[in-house]
Amino acid sequence: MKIITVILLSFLTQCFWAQTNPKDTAKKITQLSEVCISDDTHPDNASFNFYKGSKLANTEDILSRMEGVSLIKRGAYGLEPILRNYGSGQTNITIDGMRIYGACTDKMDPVSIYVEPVNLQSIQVAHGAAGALNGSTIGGQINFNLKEPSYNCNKKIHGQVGQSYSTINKGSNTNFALQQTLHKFSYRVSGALRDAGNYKSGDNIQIKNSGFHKSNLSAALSYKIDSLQTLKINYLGDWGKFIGYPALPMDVGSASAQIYSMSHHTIFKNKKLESNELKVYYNHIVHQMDDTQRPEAPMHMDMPGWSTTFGFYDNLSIKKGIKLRVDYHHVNTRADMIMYPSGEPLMYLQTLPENNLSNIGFSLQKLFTLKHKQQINLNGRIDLFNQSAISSAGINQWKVFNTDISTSKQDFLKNLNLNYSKLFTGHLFLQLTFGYGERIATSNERYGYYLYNRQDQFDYIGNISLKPERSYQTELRIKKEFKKVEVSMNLFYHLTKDYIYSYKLDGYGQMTIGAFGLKTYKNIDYALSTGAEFTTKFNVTERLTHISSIKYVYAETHNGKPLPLVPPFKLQQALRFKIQLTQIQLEHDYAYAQNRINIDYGDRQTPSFHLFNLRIAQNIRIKSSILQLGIACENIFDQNYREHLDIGNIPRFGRNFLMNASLLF
Amino acid sequence: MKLSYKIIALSAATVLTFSCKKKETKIETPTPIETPVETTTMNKLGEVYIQGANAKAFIYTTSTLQTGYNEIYVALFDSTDGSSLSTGHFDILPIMDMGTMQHSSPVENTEDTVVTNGYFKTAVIFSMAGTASQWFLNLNFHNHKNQKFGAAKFGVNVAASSPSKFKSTVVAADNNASIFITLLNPLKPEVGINDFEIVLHKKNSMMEFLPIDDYTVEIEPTMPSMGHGSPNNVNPVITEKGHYKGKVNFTMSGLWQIKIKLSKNGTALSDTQYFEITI
Repeated sequence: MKIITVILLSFLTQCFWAQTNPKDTAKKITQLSEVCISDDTHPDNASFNFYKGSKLANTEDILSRMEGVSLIKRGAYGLEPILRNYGSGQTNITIDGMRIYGACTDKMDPVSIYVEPVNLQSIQVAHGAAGALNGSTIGGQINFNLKEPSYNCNKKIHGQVGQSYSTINKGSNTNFALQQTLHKFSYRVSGALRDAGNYKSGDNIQIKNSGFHKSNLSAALSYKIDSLQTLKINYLGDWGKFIGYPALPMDVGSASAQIYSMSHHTIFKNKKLESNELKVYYNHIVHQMDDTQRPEAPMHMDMPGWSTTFGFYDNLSIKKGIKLRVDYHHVNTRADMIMYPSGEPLMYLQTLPENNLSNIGFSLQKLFTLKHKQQINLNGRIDLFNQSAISSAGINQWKVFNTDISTSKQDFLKNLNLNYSKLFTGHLFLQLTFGYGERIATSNERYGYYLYNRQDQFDYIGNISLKPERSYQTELRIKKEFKKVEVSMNLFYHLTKDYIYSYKLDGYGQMTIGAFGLKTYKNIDYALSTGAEFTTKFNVTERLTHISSIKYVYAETHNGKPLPLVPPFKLQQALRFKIQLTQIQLEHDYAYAQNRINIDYGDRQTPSFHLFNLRIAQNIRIKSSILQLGIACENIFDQNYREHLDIGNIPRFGRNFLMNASLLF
Repeated sequence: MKLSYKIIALSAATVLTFSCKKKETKIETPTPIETPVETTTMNKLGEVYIQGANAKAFIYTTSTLQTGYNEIYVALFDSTDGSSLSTGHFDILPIMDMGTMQHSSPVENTEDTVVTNGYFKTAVIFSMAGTASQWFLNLNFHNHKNQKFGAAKFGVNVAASSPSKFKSTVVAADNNASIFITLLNPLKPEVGINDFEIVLHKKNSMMEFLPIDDYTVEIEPTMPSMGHGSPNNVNPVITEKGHYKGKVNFTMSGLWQIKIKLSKNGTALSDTQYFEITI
């Protein structure tokens, strides 16, 4: 156990990243197994650490239980995280601060799929403009930090092997990790193999085209140049095959991600400077959608997509609470559609005309510590974007709309976030945030060409004259700690001017067989979104803990139309009983019906549901190793249910038994 | 060995005759030669004496003759001194000789009597395929230099255009008129915006086809295997002599069908004819 603690502590030292909250984080140790997780804006996000503590939770499970995080589901795999009601164009999802762009025009490849729990060190979530430190945003950011090799005095190889199995989809997950320190070098290699067949929903209905196969490999090498400088090289590879998307008309034949980075960390023994981190990165995503597994498809179709991104960032910490950041990235994206009618020449178009986007940004953060445990945190960011379509094929096809997309578009974005916090006596913490954020239209929103949206069954074309969305935000966070109970509440109100919203183009036909027509985007006057998150943690006894969270978002356009894909009121609670090395956890999820829907977008009403899960974990000490065994029953009452953000009315897993065995050595 | 001598002798003879002809080509070359159609090169179809007009005609096309619209360029030279004949009245009458009967085809003869770039330009719309024994071009020339008139007959091969650039239909609502629809543009179709041009002719008699100037034309491009169309097409409108010009848009590559809808004074005439275009 001692060794484990040592590893724990060594991981923990890497978790202090841009902490904005003055709370002490050291108490987290009690909740952690070998993984240290921190939610950056609220490092004491109790629910996050609580669920991560369960060995039977995967990355998506944890995400779904974090404050203000929901998931859009299109298949059993590749759930797209959204923050409150902000989707992928409005949020930044990064891995180790690296910008990675999906290669799929249908958003089947959210960046989160490349991170396996075995690679994951922490997830930082920041809402609204507060997430703009790493890139302009109005919705916030999710940053996945990969585990890095740590330096410990013990030269022994550490690691883990694990295997889990779930009955509902005959799914298996094999994973391993190895870590070793060799003098100045240390390395960490980890990987995972996941395999699943079609799953069954409640009422024993098989969901066709819902299986998937994937493998993931992560390797990190760290070299200590001297006591103050470290050089790190990271590789992350992910390969997916035959990933079913029952909610969409196509599946993914193959998908691969190659993510490389090199970084240099310096700690200064200087009076003014604190530390510097310089990172260069490159990633290449290839995504191949096809309908070869769909016998009902009217015509065989391939939809490959590519994205290549390179960039760098430099984070400089100066004493007196100043952080400076400069970053640059360049991305090239393109998506094709190739159809093979029988006995006719093949058909081709670029659903996303090849285009280049480059961005340079500067951000400055300054923390003022005032008397009486007060803090003001000011951070601002400016960004310059340049985007242009470069392929003549894509440019030519756009001419049918009398639009020339070859001229480059420049955008200058501003973000500003002001955060005041005070720790009152009696463990009452209060934080008030005013934010202003901007985001540019995504390349789909700008150049997309007959992109089919399954939700409303319309084809979409872009609009190059879209203005950036501008969001004015205010948030209040209150946290109170009692002897046995922790209560925290977030209230937020966001007003987004020039909100990018879809509308129907009358007199234009669709391209996709069976689609209803053509839509594009325009800036509407404004949209507002308001809501709350409420979390409690109650240590009933030393052995019994109850945790609960409530999320609610209300969002509508300037003329009172509900925004699409807004999650309904949701309550998630869990009761954990822990005695020595045994842990029993009962979970209850409740979602209210969502009747505030956007019919234009094909939003459908969702009935309410209750969901119960039971998880039992047992740790067994074998000399210096630990064997972790887990068994779980999810959806105990075999509910046939779906979440509001599940595309295409596809129900979720029915009753599922999960088994897990992991050996930590 | 004997054989190779023969070959050498033969080829020498060929070279000689060829070089002799080359001398002639000096005079057949009209001056100055300007390629009338920018992107195509001129193919020589043949040459023929126009008896009575003291003229020799050199006949060129921009591509091989096929059903549909064919531009024909004719350079005329004085058959005695080889000088270029730049003034006169030249026209073509195409004739399909089917043995028991003959018929003509729509033709666009130039009304210019002075040639500026060396060619008399005409266009023939062949309504069917045929070999040299069937299709003839009757060349008529009124030589303004010597005020003589002559005619010649020139046999040509006409292949079927594939996909067809020529359609004929009988329009019941217009007194059962036999209508010819000929596609001119796009010549080089590409994804994006394209010029669209058709010519409409009405059969007046076996020998006379008149351009139609009073129809309304609508076009509807579709991809047959997907059933979708394309946006922002511009329906062709009459420019001159039965030519209707508009714009056709192709949103993607592949096989397209352009349906032609004809109407006259608000009465629908025909909407069954279509042209196929592959990009």
